[in-house]
Amino acid sequence: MAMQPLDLPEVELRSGWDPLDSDVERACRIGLAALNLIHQTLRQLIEPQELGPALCRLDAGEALGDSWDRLGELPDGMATISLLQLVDSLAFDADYQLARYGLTSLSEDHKELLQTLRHIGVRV
Amino acid sequence: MHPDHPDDHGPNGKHAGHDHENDHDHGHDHGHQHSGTPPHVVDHALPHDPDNHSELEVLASAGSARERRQMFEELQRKAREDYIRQSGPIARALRDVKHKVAILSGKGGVGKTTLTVNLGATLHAMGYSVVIFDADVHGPSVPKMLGARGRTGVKPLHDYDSEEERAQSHAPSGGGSCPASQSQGHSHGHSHQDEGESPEPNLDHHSFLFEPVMTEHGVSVISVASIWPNEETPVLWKGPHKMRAIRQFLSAAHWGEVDFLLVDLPPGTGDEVQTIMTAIPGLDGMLVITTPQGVSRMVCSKAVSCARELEAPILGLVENMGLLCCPHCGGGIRPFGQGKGERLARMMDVPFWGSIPFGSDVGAACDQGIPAVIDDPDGPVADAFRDIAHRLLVAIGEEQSVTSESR
Repeated sequence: MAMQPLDLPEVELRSGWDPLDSDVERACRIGLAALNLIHQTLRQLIEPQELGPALCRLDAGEALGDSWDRLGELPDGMATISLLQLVDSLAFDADYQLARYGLTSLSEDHKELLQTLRHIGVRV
Repeated sequence: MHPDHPDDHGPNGKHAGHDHENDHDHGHDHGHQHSGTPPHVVDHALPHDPDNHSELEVLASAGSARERRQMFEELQRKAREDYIRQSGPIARALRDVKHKVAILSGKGGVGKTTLTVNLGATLHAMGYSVVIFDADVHGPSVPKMLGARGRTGVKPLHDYDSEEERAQSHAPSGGGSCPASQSQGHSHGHSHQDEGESPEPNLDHHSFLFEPVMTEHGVSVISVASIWPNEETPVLWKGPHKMRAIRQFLSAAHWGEVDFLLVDLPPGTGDEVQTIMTAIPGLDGMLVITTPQGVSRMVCSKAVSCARELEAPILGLVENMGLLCCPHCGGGIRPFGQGKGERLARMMDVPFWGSIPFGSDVGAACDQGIPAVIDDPDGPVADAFRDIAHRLLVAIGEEQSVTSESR
C-alpha cells in the first residue's frame, strides 16, 4: 500500500505580495513542509533516518516535473525551481548526506530553504 | 549477519554508533547511525568484497568493544556506499553507457571544457555516440561551446509511454517512484516485495528525468546550469545541496544507450570532483589536462594525486596551449618552453597523450558554439584531438593500438 502524501501547510504571504501562481503556491507549501521537517530533524524531534521518506511524501519531484515548463516562464520561476530541486534532491539523498556530512549539514539546507521562501514572498 | 558483529545494539547497526558518553559530534554520530542500513545490504556486501577481508581480520583482533564497534560501523558504511555505487540509482541510470570518462584539471582556465567538447565531437565523427555531462556547477560552459540552445528538458515519468521506454528511462516498475511510498515508510527505501528472494534495495526515487539537449554537432549535453531558463542566472547552490544536485543529475538523467559519457568536472579537487569520482560506477578513468605554466603543473599534480587517492584510474595527461600557432606565418612558438607537459607526465607516472596547439581561431570557434575540430577539421588542433581520441580508444580497449597515422 502506498503512503499518502503529507498534508501541506497553508502559505501566508508577506504584506504587499500578490497572490501566488498556483504552481508557485504548491511549491511554497512543499517548501514550508520541508522546512518544518528539517527543523524537526535538526532539533532531534524526528529521527534522521525518517527525514528522507517524509520528504518523499511531499512529492517535490512530481511538482517539479509537472510544472517545469511553466515555472521557466514565471518571474519567480527560478527560485521556485531551486526550491523544489532542493527538496527533491534531499528526499533522494538524505541518507547519503547524513552519512557523509552529518546532521549539521542540514542547517545549510534549512537556511537556503528559508531564504528562498522569503525571496518568493512567503512569510516564514 | 556477520559473526564478528561486535555490539549488542541489534543486528541492523541502526543505533550502533550512538555512544552518548563520547558523543562530541552529533553530525558525525548521526551519520554513522545511517551508515548501518539497510542491514541486508551489509550482509550481502561484506562477504563478497575481497578488500574487506583484511579489515575484518583487523576488526576481529581489535582491542576494546568500543573500537570493534567503531570499526564495524565504518565497514558497514563502506559496504553500503559500495553497494549503492554498484547497484543504486546512479548505476542504474548509467547502465547503458558503455564508457565513462571524466576530464579533470587542477586549475581553472586550462582548457578542460575545450578538451571535453572537442574530444566529444571527435569521437562522434569517428562514429561513436557521445553525451557530455557538464558538472561545473559554477562555471558551466559546455552548452555554450557546443552551441546548445534551450533549456534542459524534464519529462515526468508518466510521460514515458511504452514499457520499453520506461525500461530505458531506468524507471522503477510498479508505479510509485518514491522509496517511501513503496515501502510504507521504511527508512531506506528497500522494497519488501521480494524479501527473502532479492537482497537488493529499491533506491529508485525520481518522478521525472532530465532529457539531454542534442546539439547540431551530434553530441548531446546535460548541464547542471541548463535547468535555468536564463543562461546568465548564477547557480547559488552551496555545500551539500551542490553535491546532491550532481548526484541527482547523474541518477535522474535519461542518458540512454551511448558509447561515451564525458564528464566535464569543475576545476580543482573539491567536493564536487570527489563526489563524481566516487559516485560513478565503472568509471573508465580520468583524463587530466594542464598547461605548461609552472603553477598549472603544480596544481595538476595535486589533481593526479587526488584521483589516485580516490582510486580513480588516470588514463592520460594532455597538455594544452603548449604551442601557439601564428595566424600570420603559420609557424609555431612555445611560449612556456618545450616538453613541460611530457616531463610532468613522466614525473607523475601518467601516460602523456600529447599537446593541443593553441590558435586564435580555437577560441573564436568555441565562442560561436562550434568545436574547433569541426570548424577546421584538417587543422593541427583537429589532428591533435584525433590522436587523443585514438589513444583513449586504445586505453579503454576499443582499439588495438595507436596507429602510426594517428601519431
